[in-house]
Amino acid sequence: MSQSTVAIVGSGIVGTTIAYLLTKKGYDVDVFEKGPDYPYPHTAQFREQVLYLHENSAYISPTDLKHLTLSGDYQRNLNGDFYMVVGGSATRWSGITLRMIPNDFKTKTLYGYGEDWPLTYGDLEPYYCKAESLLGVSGTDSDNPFAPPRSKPHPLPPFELSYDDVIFAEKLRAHGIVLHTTPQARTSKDYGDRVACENYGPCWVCPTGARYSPNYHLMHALKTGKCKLHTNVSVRRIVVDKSGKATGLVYQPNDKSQEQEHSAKIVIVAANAIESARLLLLSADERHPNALGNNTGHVGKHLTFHHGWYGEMHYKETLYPSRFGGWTGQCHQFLDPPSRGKHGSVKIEFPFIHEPDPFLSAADLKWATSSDVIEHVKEVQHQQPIRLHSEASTGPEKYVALSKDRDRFGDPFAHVQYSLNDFDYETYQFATKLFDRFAEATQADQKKWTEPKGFSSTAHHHGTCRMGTNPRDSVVDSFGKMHDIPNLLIAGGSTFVGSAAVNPTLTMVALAIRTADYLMDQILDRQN
Amino acid sequence: MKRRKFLTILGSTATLTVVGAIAWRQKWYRGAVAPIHAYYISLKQEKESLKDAPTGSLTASTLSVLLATTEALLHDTPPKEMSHYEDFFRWHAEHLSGYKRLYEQFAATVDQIARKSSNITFADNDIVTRKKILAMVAPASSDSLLGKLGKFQTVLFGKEQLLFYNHIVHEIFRLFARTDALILVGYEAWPGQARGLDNYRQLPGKAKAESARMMSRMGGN
Repeated sequence: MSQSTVAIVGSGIVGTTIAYLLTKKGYDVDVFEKGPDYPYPHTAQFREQVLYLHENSAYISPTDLKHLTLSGDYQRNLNGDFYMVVGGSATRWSGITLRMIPNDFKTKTLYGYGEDWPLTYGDLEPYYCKAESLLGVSGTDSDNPFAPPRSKPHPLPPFELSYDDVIFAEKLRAHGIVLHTTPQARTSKDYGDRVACENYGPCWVCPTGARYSPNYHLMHALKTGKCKLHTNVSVRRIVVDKSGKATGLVYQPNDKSQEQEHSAKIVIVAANAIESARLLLLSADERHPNALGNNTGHVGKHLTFHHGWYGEMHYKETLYPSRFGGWTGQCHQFLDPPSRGKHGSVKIEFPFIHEPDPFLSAADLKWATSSDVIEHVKEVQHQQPIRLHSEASTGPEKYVALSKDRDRFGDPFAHVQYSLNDFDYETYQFATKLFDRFAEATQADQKKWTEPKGFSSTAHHHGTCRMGTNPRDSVVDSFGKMHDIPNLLIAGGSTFVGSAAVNPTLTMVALAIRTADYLMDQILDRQN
Repeated sequence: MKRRKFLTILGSTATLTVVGAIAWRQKWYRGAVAPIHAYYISLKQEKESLKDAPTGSLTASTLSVLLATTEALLHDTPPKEMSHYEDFFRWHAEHLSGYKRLYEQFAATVDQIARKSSNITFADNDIVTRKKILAMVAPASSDSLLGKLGKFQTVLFGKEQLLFYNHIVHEIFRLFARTDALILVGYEAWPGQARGLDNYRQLPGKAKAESARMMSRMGGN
């Protein structure tokens, strides 16, 4: 049996942050990742995808390892949200790193929906600063009157608005709407040993490491000699002894028939909101018949996605989109609107016309001549996509359970039930009005808007192991420590109490840093 | 078409439609059609059929056919240079199973047709002839353009056509779409090149120059 001080399930941005911080202080950490290695910097992957238009199947997990079942309203491919490789889904992300605003932490008290978080914005603010420093965030609040308070400036200057953003910003300003720059984990200047962005784009896979990838800190953790990475292994369950303490985990190499045990003083589950809940459900034993941490029935509950409702606007003028590999302008004006409580908050963003690249998206078009291609590209230049990135509310119609379908080891996959509730429909109505307002203010000559159930999760999943002070209505405390198993911690979006409307990654990393500090100060140091 | 012939075709089509609709309700018929449908699906999943063939370098003659194909397809909107297409073909042949064999099959097919009709290689033919040959061996997917008729055609004749279109013609167009097409509509560079952090904030140079030219013609500033 192998052993380490800390075992982390999942090598995504949360798991690697904790592994990096702990190994830097000399603790030994084993990280378990279901997917394959994913070389860093992602130069080879960039060449494959961008220069040779090839999606490498070596990085796509087979369906008997990566799968889930779905019921309810969600109409898209939820399984496609997850990128199961070393570094996780943040190996290919937009890099948008926003702070939640103070009121997001107390929606029950202020607006009467959801629950309050067991910590305040003030508690998390120093960790937001640390997270921005860790990821190398470029940004400014000087053009964003809706940004939450901060004690330190962003580590790097912002990426300025693109040509098309500026056209919109001017038109919107005349109608009282502010379009501003967007903080992002992408280096606008050299940052430590990371080079400045040279705008190779599209940024979903960055060839230089200018856009942050978790593999960067994993690489540094591995260099300490204190971190061991297990790739292509599935963690099948967490083991808890009779005294109620976690003793380690059982895992199985994906290509082997024998499972193996790994013992650890601390176990941290940092998979994602769906897989973390699944692992706790799979770990049910005699003392925990309904899953670990599930004495009061909250594991898998309180699931939320972000609801990304898409619109498309068409303009007479030529916009020349996608000349910057990432995204620049956003609008945070409606993160805390006066009518909040009747509905949720909304962030407005302009994603690529068709992610990840408008000019590759036409793979399904059957062109007959190069003139057809030119016509397509010309048309794209007049289009502006818009996404109303909206807060969701928790409810009994959104949860994770175990599926009837099983993986190659015989373990049930996750089943996700997700339906919209009345609050979400109210948010949709609010978003629809905002879309119309945007289209009118920017003088779109055509517009197209999505139906309520046409939303995308935006690959943001929260809840299922939510934090709280009271074990009766939560699974973990604000540090991610499970209420009834003190050396088992959950980290990541799964511990969120509510979704807010901003991208969750920076909050996930801030919480991870806070968890690592807590572990080192309050648990590991005392054990030594 | 004579009226009698027209009525015969119309009558036959109507009869086939009615008989087909009745037959479709019968389990035995669906059972008989299922393998054909499955075969059609297998053709659609043509990447699978590329899997086993070895990778390797392209010969000069195969590469020359591929570049001559690119030149013919993009003739109406010619790229300034072809090196990224050549790099694209070489990389696919050397890294992805099936491509080398497909490229060779394609080159042999178009060369054979070219030699039969004009006694010279495909690459030595003029653009118009090359385009005609390409329209024969790799038409824009009949499957997507002609609905059920296209599916029928694909099942009977089209596996090779489908592979040639999807993995050669369409990929040339895709590469063109994200490189040269952008330059042709006014962009200064394409994704994959270091574009810097200044240009994206301004009107692209070519468009800016055109705009200035128009303003000057109109007597503006």
